[in-house]
Amino acid sequence: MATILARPERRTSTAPERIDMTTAAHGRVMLLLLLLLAVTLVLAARMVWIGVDANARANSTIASPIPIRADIVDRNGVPLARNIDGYAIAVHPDKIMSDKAALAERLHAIFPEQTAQEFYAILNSGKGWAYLRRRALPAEVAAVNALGEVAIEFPREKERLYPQRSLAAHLIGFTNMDGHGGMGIERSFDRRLTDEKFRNTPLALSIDSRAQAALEEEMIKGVTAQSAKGAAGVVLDVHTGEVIAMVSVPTFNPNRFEVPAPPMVRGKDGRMRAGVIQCDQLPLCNRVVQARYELGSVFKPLSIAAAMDAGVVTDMSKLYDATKPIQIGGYAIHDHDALNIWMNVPQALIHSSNIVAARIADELQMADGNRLATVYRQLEFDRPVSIQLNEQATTLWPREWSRIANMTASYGHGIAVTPLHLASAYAALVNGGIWHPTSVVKLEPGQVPQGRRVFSAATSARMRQLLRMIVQSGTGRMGNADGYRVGAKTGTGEKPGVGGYSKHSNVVTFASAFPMDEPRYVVVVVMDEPQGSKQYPGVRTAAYTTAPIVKAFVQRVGPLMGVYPEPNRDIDISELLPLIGGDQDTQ
Amino acid sequence: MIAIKRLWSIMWILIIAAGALTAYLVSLRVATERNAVKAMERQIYSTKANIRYLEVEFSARANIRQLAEWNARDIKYSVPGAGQYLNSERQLASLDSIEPSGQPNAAPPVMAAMAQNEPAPAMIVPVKAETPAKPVADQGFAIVRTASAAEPARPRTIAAVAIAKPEAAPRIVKLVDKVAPRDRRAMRLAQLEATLLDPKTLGSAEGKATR
Repeated sequence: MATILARPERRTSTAPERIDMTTAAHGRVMLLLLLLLAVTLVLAARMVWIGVDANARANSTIASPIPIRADIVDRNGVPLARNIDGYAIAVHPDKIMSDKAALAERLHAIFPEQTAQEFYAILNSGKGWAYLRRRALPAEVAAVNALGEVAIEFPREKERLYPQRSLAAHLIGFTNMDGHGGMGIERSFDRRLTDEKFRNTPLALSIDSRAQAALEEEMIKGVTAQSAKGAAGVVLDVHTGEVIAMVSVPTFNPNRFEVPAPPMVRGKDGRMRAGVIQCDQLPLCNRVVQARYELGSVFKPLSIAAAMDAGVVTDMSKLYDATKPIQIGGYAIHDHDALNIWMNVPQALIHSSNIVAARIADELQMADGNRLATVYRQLEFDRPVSIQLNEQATTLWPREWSRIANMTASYGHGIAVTPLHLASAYAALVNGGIWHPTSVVKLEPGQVPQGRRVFSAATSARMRQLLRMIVQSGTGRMGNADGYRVGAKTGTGEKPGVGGYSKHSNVVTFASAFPMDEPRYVVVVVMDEPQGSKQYPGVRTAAYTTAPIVKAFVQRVGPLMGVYPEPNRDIDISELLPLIGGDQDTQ
Repeated sequence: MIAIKRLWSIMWILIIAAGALTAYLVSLRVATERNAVKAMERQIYSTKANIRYLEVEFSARANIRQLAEWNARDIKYSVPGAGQYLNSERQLASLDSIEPSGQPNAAPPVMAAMAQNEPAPAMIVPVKAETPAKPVADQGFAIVRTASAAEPARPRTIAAVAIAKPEAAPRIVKLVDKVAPRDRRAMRLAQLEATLLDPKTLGSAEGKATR
């Protein structure tokens, strides 16, 4: 038996192994430490992050003092539209604990204008969430809270409030549910009002709230007294074209406003579609810029001024034949209260003679072609008025400037413009002859746009005399506010209806300016279908309908606008008085 | 030596830890202060929002139409007439309708009317007739309201009485003659005071002042 004897391997020293194990142990401890360090670092980083994030959140949760929509103020800084955190009252109908019928009754007791049935319908709607009121006063919120119903909550909402209620409602407009403008300034300046850069600065309008309120009040009184369909009134600064007041009656309250649905009409294809809303049917319509009227005799000063500039009328004493109507193209031009005499220009204006105006326009056309059309175009009668509002009516301009169109346009027939067109034309007529585009935004002295000359300064001066004469001795007497030197022209236009012009539905106008020795403001008031007042039954002329409105307005507001009554001061019209044979009684 | 070196490294760690702790404490302090500032800012903003809300509420409750309604119902202020505005100090001075020195001054006609126990309308109605009949046009009656210093105003009501009731004029003059000079002076002063303190005059003066 062989035996293999293997020499056992020589064992090496264990010391290095021990060292290795120590190193390994150290390594593990180090690893553990590193891990702990990493965890600590992560935790620290997380803490820092939470701190930073919380800071950022704290910054973002601070309510910004800048409103989400800029305020609108008048030219003196009186707020007309502001944003506030208002109260709303909302309900979770599916979580109501108390008796719904009793709750509806109690809500009706707090809000009497809304019936209990309406509240009951909301409470029973089964929705998850519904408004009870979009706008509520703090006192109402407290009262509803006292009902103790847990399903009712009171969210605070950004809302647009018009503190002056219906004041200048047509001009300012309103905001829709989505917070964007639906009409007027709110609509046309929507971008400016919501722009982050400008939101902190209120938008200053050109209107003066005192003048606006006075004109509104006088016009509402006038329209009520006359049982008229409506009225439009505008006050312009003659030197800048700024709108000082713009009133359309009937008016509305933009705080509680629901856009009415237009009437449905059947189209040519047989389908029903939304029809066009006429101004007569809707208080929303801004008659100053959205309604066009054939304004009648108030055009005569414009056409006569054009003839003066063209050198056709050079002599105030020249007589024109107004003894009989003019027959032209199967159409007769006649005067309303025909005197059947020869008249000069001052007499023609005082008696408001269509025949003389037509004769002068005819002479003008023969001498200088379509000069009248050119002047009317310069006054922008052939296009929508220049103003920063989206609501604008197109004008009615003759298809062809024929001889007859020229003659009728001279006394305001066959051509229809908005009251604002007329006001800006009168501003040019009295301010020395310069036409300015109108503006609803306050203009600083350097911002007034360059105007354009339409009439010569001499013609403008003469027209000031003639307009003052009409108020002192003619049809405008009822508008003569003592000491304020008002000058004006009255106008009565017949409204076109089915089958021609209606004798009984008139549009009456009083186009005035004051003070005539140094004109500063133009006031135009147009009334739609006055029926006559109790004091003067059946009398529907401008002298008895719109002139008293202007007189009351001027007396109330003149001093506030820097025009003081001065009985000893007036424009000199003594050279014209002999031509009209002293005082004329033409009321 | 090695032990000291090791101790140093521990020292470093301790120093750094202490520094880090201090820095952390400082940052905590800063964060607290910042939060306090934020809270204050929040308070300022909410106060501003409240002010805005109250301003709006105030202007909504006292809007121009509401004021006009109150005026029509209770206060009843009316529009001042053209005669209530004065252009110059001269017009203000001529308001009392006193004759320049030397001339005997007539007592206000209303006082005379009261002394005579005559019905007031008889004295007042003719005053309203602003455009007198031709024969008296040169008595300066028509210019009374717009009187200037160049052409002194006469006591308009006397002229008016003379127009309406010619027989009434001597009676008033007689009454004036009876008044002793001292009383007359007192009367003049009373008249001046009454005219200057009249609400109409004050209203006009205020309007002038605010021009």
